Amino acid sequence: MGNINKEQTFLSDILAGRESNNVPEYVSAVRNAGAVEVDKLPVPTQKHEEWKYTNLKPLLKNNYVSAQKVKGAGEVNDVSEHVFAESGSQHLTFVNGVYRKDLSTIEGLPKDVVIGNIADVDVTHQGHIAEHLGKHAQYEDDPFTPFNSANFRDGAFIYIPKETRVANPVQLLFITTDADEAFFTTPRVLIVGERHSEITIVEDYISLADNVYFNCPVTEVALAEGGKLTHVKLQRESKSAFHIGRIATSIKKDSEYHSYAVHLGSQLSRSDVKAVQLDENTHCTLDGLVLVKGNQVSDTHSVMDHAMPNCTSHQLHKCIVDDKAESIFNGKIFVRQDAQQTNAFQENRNLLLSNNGTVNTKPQLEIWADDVKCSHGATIGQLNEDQVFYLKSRGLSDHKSREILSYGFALDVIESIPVESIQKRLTVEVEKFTRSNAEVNNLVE
Amino acid sequence: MIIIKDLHAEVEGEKILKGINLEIKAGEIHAVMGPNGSGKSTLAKVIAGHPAYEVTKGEIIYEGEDILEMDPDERARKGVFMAFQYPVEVPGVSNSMFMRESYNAILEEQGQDPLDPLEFEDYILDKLKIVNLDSKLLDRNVNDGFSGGEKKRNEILQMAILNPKLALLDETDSGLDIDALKIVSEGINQLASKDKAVLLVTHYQRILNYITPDFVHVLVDGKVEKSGGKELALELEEHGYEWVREARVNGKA
Repeated sequence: MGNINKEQTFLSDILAGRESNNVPEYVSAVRNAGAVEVDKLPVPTQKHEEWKYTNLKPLLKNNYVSAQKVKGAGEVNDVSEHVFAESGSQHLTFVNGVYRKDLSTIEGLPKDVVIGNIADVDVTHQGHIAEHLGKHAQYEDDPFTPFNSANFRDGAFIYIPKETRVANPVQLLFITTDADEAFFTTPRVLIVGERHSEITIVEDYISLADNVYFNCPVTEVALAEGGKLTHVKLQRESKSAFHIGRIATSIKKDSEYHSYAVHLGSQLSRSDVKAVQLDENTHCTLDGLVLVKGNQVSDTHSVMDHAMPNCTSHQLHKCIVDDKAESIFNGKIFVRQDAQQTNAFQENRNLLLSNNGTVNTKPQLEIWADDVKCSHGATIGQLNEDQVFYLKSRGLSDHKSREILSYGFALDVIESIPVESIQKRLTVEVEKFTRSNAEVNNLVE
Repeated sequence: MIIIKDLHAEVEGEKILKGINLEIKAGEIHAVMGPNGSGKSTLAKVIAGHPAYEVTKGEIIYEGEDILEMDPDERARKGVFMAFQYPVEVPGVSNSMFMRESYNAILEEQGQDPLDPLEFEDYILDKLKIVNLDSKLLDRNVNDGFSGGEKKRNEILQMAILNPKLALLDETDSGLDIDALKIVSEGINQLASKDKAVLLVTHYQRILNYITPDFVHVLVDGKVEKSGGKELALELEEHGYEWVREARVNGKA
């Protein structure tokens, strides 16, 4: 009996309690492969280059039970207040990781779009799942993606046939509730867009309480020739939660992938986003907005992989950090030898509202092709005091001035998200964020 | 309306104002002139409460209250307004939202109900005419990409909207062509009234062809070197600021 460190066994231990009842073959194959990897891969420490600034010890302090077994979980019988107006007729709901058909509707979607719970997909479409599930999320030595694979049962599967264009966004609502003990969930999303299909998907992670839980989602996206996906992820978990998620996208010729990731919640969030341009003339957006305060930590690691010629990418990642919070950004852009005529843009801007916040930013461009245009920039700054004085000289309080300027800082990312209800929601979130704690308390009273 | 007594101020340890005395009554327009570096812009900024300037001595009594202890926003809500020499660009913040929030802050101070966006739109239509500005500028971000003239007119528009008691105009005429100067001057004249006061900081006599001051003060090296009526500005135009300096030296001699 040697001293086995916690990092080595943590994920395997909590997996020991996983449910294994009645999953279809195409799911169990992925689960079993994942479980093998989890046993091999320890939870990374800060000695690991990819986790240098993010300490996972707080995650390891709790014991997490499977969400299906947790005691005292809150009930959810109505999600109407959480559904964006544009998604009223097409949304899927998952409560504590479990698909809720009764709280989902797809009546607003064209009939040939296949959408539903991964574990319940009709046999005629299971081939698409077998072809793509687990094939895009390359995780190297990250244990969290196989952890998701090993445990997931429910998740969203969306298949858009060729030439099909869906006008209104599909919202995937992942709701977590209060419970008597800490628990974990592993939602999975698989989006397959066929030739010249077009859709907008909103992954929305919300919490109904401020409890401790561990959410470990994985999303995979495969776009065929000329496919177009607008992908919004809103992470609004409980301020005590852990959210460690991965998004992996592979896109083919003439396709477009536009991703907007917003992180507002969680005491610790980590987002690994990777887009691989597999063929010529593709276009990617990997924008992000992070608002952290208190003791929150939010870490975004992105990879934009330009493998083929004539592709573009755009990445504007903005963070606002208040109190003792911390944001981390590592943005890798690979331009492979074949990827001539690449046009890649990356900008990471950080706004520090306090003297005690921390920002770590590391743009990382690796370019092998010689005929490309790549630009990158990273800034860390405070509010411009000339602007603050200008606003105050017009009668606006110091706080109101800073709130307006913070909103102005975040605005270009918010405005680029092409769903009006989300823009409005985020405007409110920025306002809430920049209010002092005292003011928020006053509002509650 | 405002009494300034023996005002000393410095920025980053450098003494700029060295004992200013000035009184402005309601209904008066005072022009403050002076060579570059004489402290005339500093005077306007200190009255408005710019945090970069430290007042080391003296007092500013506005409407019977010492305002030196007040934050700039509190001064603004009590009716002090400064039109900036270099209006600040504020990307990401729409001009109309900014102006509505400002006006509502002042209404709130006066115990009145705030205006919603539609009510505010009605309220500012007339004000736009005063400065001959296109309403499209309201949808743009504050001063962002505005021409020099548009920025200055945007300042006077804010003055028209906020309706201050004491307007400090910091070189509002600089950088304006003759047409814009006329528009801005007419705007200021429309807003001046017997219960308001204007402090007009300017380097040149030119704007005083359109705005007639009741008093002209010449600042040299942080002090009011000479005060007089509107004719003083013309004498300055003719003789230059050296004339005031020489007069001082000769006077002392």
